[in-house]
Amino acid sequence: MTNIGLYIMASVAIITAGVVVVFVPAEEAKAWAPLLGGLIVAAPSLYSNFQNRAAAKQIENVHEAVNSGSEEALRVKGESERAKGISETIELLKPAIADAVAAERARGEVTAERVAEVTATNLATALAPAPDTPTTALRPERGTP
Amino acid sequence: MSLIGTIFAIVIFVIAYVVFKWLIGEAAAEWAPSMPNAVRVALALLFAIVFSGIGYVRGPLLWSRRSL
Repeated sequence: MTNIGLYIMASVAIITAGVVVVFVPAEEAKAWAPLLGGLIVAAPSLYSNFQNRAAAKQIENVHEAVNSGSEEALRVKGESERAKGISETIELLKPAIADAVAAERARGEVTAERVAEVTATNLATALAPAPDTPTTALRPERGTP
Repeated sequence: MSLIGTIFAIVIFVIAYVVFKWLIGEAAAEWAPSMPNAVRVALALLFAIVFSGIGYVRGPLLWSRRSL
Protein backbone atom coordinates (compact mmCIF):
# COMPACT_ATOMS: atom_id res chain seq x y z
CA MET A 1 0.00 0.00 0.00
CA THR A 2 1.25 3.44 -0.86
CA ASN A 3 1.22 6.34 1.57
CA ILE A 4 -1.84 7.70 -0.24
CA GLY A 5 -3.63 4.40 0.44
CA LEU A 6 -2.70 4.62 4.12
CA TYR A 7 -4.01 8.19 4.31
CA ILE A 8 -7.24 7.13 2.63
CA MET A 9 -7.66 4.26 5.08
CA ALA A 10 -6.98 6.54 8.06
CA SER A 11 -9.44 9.10 6.68
CA VAL A 12 -12.10 6.42 6.26
CA ALA A 13 -11.51 5.29 9.84
CA ILE A 14 -11.77 8.84 11.18
CA ILE A 15 -14.87 9.65 9.12
CA THR A 16 -16.52 6.38 10.16
CA ALA A 17 -15.77 7.05 13.81
CA GLY A 18 -17.06 10.62 13.42
CA VAL A 19 -20.29 9.44 11.80
CA VAL A 20 -20.75 6.90 14.60
CA VAL A 21 -20.19 9.51 17.28
CA VAL A 22 -22.36 12.21 15.72
CA PHE A 23 -25.30 10.31 14.29
CA VAL A 24 -25.63 7.18 16.40
CA PRO A 25 -26.93 7.52 19.96
CA ALA A 26 -24.26 6.59 22.45
CA GLU A 27 -26.26 3.85 24.13
CA GLU A 28 -26.83 2.00 20.84
CA ALA A 29 -23.27 2.46 19.70
CA LYS A 30 -21.78 1.02 22.87
CA ALA A 31 -22.60 -2.51 21.81
CA TRP A 32 -20.97 -2.58 18.41
CA ALA A 33 -18.62 0.43 18.36
CA PRO A 34 -15.72 -1.57 19.88
CA LEU A 35 -16.24 -4.29 17.29
CA LEU A 36 -16.24 -1.79 14.42
CA GLY A 37 -13.23 0.02 15.89
CA GLY A 38 -11.32 -3.23 16.25
CA LEU A 39 -12.02 -4.15 12.63
CA ILE A 40 -10.92 -0.72 11.45
CA VAL A 41 -7.70 -0.89 13.44
CA ALA A 42 -6.90 -4.45 12.34
CA ALA A 43 -7.61 -3.72 8.66
CA PRO A 44 -4.18 -2.19 7.83
CA SER A 45 -2.29 -5.12 9.32
CA LEU A 46 -4.47 -7.55 7.35
CA TYR A 47 -3.92 -5.52 4.20
CA SER A 48 -0.15 -5.41 4.71
CA ASN A 49 -0.27 -9.14 5.34
CA PHE A 50 -1.85 -9.71 1.92
CA GLN A 51 0.58 -7.26 0.35
CA ASN A 52 3.61 -8.94 1.87
CA ARG A 53 2.38 -12.35 0.83
CA ALA A 54 2.44 -11.04 -2.74
CA ALA A 55 5.90 -9.59 -2.19
CA ALA A 56 7.13 -12.89 -0.78
CA LYS A 57 5.72 -14.66 -3.84
CA GLN A 58 7.68 -12.28 -6.04
CA ILE A 59 10.83 -13.01 -4.03
CA GLU A 60 10.23 -16.75 -4.47
CA ASN A 61 9.90 -16.16 -8.21
CA VAL A 62 13.20 -14.28 -8.22
CA HIS A 63 14.88 -17.10 -6.29
CA GLU A 64 13.52 -19.65 -8.75
CA ALA A 65 14.76 -17.56 -11.67
CA VAL A 66 18.21 -17.26 -10.08
CA ASN A 67 18.32 -21.00 -9.40
CA SER A 68 17.28 -21.89 -12.92
CA GLY A 69 19.80 -19.37 -14.22
CA SER A 70 22.56 -20.97 -12.18
CA GLU A 71 21.54 -24.41 -13.45
CA GLU A 72 21.72 -23.09 -16.99
CA ALA A 73 25.12 -21.56 -16.24
CA LEU A 74 26.34 -24.90 -14.89
CA ARG A 75 25.06 -26.66 -18.00
CA VAL A 76 26.81 -24.17 -20.27
CA LYS A 77 29.97 -24.53 -18.19
CA GLY A 78 29.77 -28.30 -18.51
CA GLU A 79 29.35 -28.06 -22.28
CA SER A 80 32.23 -25.63 -22.44
CA GLU A 81 34.48 -27.96 -20.48
CA ARG A 82 33.41 -30.87 -22.65
CA ALA A 83 34.19 -28.86 -25.79
CA LYS A 84 37.52 -27.91 -24.28
CA GLY A 85 38.26 -31.58 -23.66
CA ILE A 86 37.36 -32.42 -27.24
CA SER A 87 39.58 -29.68 -28.61
CA GLU A 88 42.45 -30.87 -26.39
CA THR A 89 41.94 -34.38 -27.72
CA ILE A 90 42.03 -33.06 -31.27
CA GLU A 91 45.25 -31.20 -30.46
CA LEU A 92 46.68 -34.50 -29.19
CA LEU A 93 45.55 -36.28 -32.32
CA LYS A 94 46.98 -33.75 -34.74
CA PRO A 95 50.65 -34.87 -34.54
CA ALA A 96 49.68 -38.52 -34.68
CA ILE A 97 47.57 -37.86 -37.78
CA ALA A 98 50.35 -35.77 -39.30
CA ASP A 99 52.86 -38.57 -38.68
CA ALA A 100 50.47 -41.07 -40.24
CA VAL A 101 49.93 -38.87 -43.28
CA ALA A 102 53.68 -38.37 -43.69
CA ALA A 103 54.32 -42.10 -43.41
CA GLU A 104 51.63 -42.91 -45.94
CA ARG A 105 52.88 -40.19 -48.28
CA ALA A 106 56.34 -41.72 -48.09
CA ARG A 107 54.79 -45.04 -49.08
CA GLY A 108 53.26 -43.32 -52.11
CA GLU A 109 49.49 -43.45 -51.51
CA VAL A 110 47.45 -41.61 -48.88
CA THR A 111 44.00 -42.94 -48.08
CA ALA A 112 41.75 -42.02 -45.19
CA GLU A 113 41.42 -45.63 -44.07
CA ARG A 114 45.17 -46.16 -43.91
CA VAL A 115 45.73 -42.83 -42.15
CA ALA A 116 43.13 -43.82 -39.57
CA GLU A 117 44.72 -47.23 -39.06
CA VAL A 118 48.23 -45.83 -38.75
CA THR A 119 47.04 -43.07 -36.43
CA ALA A 120 45.34 -45.59 -34.20
CA THR A 121 48.48 -47.74 -34.17
CA ASN A 122 50.68 -44.77 -33.36
CA LEU A 123 48.37 -43.67 -30.55
CA ALA A 124 48.16 -47.18 -29.14
CA THR A 125 51.93 -47.41 -29.14
CA ALA A 126 52.33 -43.99 -27.57
CA LEU A 127 49.70 -44.58 -24.91
CA ALA A 128 50.76 -48.14 -24.07
CA PRO A 129 51.79 -48.47 -20.43
CA ALA A 130 55.48 -48.68 -19.83
CA PRO A 131 56.83 -52.01 -18.65
CA ASP A 132 57.00 -52.39 -14.90
CA THR A 133 60.30 -51.10 -13.69
CA PRO A 134 61.06 -50.60 -10.03
CA THR A 135 61.56 -46.93 -9.46
CA THR A 136 62.33 -47.00 -5.77
CA ALA A 137 64.53 -49.37 -3.90
CA LEU A 138 63.01 -51.23 -1.01
CA ARG A 139 64.05 -49.94 2.35
CA PRO A 140 65.76 -52.42 4.63
CA GLU A 141 63.60 -53.40 7.52
CA ARG A 142 64.42 -51.89 10.85
CA GLY A 143 66.62 -53.96 13.04
CA THR A 144 68.29 -55.83 10.21
CA PRO A 145 72.03 -55.45 10.20
CA MET B 1 -1.47 -14.62 3.54
CA SER B 2 0.82 -15.94 6.23
CA LEU B 3 -0.23 -17.60 9.46
CA ILE B 4 1.88 -15.31 11.61
CA GLY B 5 0.46 -12.25 9.84
CA THR B 6 -3.08 -13.47 10.43
CA ILE B 7 -2.36 -14.16 14.10
CA PHE B 8 -0.82 -10.70 14.36
CA ALA B 9 -3.94 -9.09 12.85
CA ILE B 10 -6.20 -11.06 15.21
CA VAL B 11 -4.12 -9.94 18.19
CA ILE B 12 -4.36 -6.34 16.98
CA PHE B 13 -8.12 -6.73 16.64
CA VAL B 14 -8.54 -8.20 20.13
CA ILE B 15 -6.43 -5.49 21.76
CA ALA B 16 -8.30 -2.77 19.87
CA TYR B 17 -11.64 -4.35 20.78
CA VAL B 18 -10.78 -4.37 24.47
CA VAL B 19 -9.45 -0.80 24.41
CA PHE B 20 -12.50 0.50 22.54
CA LYS B 21 -14.80 -1.39 24.89
CA TRP B 22 -13.26 0.43 27.85
CA LEU B 23 -13.04 3.76 26.07
CA ILE B 24 -16.35 4.11 24.21
CA GLY B 25 -18.08 0.75 24.68
CA GLU B 26 -20.11 -1.00 27.32
CA ALA B 27 -17.40 -0.81 29.97
CA ALA B 28 -16.85 2.93 29.54
CA ALA B 29 -18.94 3.73 32.60
CA GLU B 30 -16.69 1.62 34.80
CA TRP B 31 -13.46 3.29 33.69
CA ALA B 32 -13.20 7.01 34.44
CA PRO B 33 -16.93 7.75 34.50
CA SER B 34 -16.33 11.47 34.82
CA MET B 35 -14.35 11.69 31.59
CA PRO B 36 -16.17 13.74 28.93
CA ASN B 37 -17.33 11.95 25.81
CA ALA B 38 -15.29 14.24 23.59
CA VAL B 39 -12.10 13.19 25.36
CA ARG B 40 -13.08 9.54 25.08
CA VAL B 41 -13.69 9.86 21.33
CA ALA B 42 -10.46 11.80 20.87
CA LEU B 43 -8.52 9.11 22.74
CA ALA B 44 -10.24 6.41 20.70
CA LEU B 45 -9.35 8.13 17.43
CA LEU B 46 -5.75 8.64 18.55
CA PHE B 47 -5.49 5.00 19.55
CA ALA B 48 -7.04 3.90 16.22
CA ILE B 49 -4.59 5.96 14.16
CA VAL B 50 -1.50 4.93 16.15
CA PHE B 51 -2.40 1.28 16.50
CA SER B 52 -3.45 0.84 12.87
CA GLY B 53 -0.12 2.39 11.89
CA ILE B 54 1.71 -0.05 14.15
CA GLY B 55 -0.22 -2.93 12.58
CA TYR B 56 0.57 -1.71 9.10
CA VAL B 57 4.29 -1.27 9.74
CA ARG B 58 5.03 -4.00 12.25
CA GLY B 59 3.26 -6.79 10.32
CA PRO B 60 5.62 -6.60 7.33
CA LEU B 61 8.58 -6.62 9.69
CA LEU B 62 7.36 -9.86 11.26
CA TRP B 63 6.71 -11.34 7.86
CA SER B 64 10.01 -10.24 6.34
CA ARG B 65 11.96 -11.62 9.30
CA ARG B 66 10.57 -15.06 8.52
CA SER B 67 10.82 -15.11 4.77
CA LEU B 68 13.76 -12.97 3.65
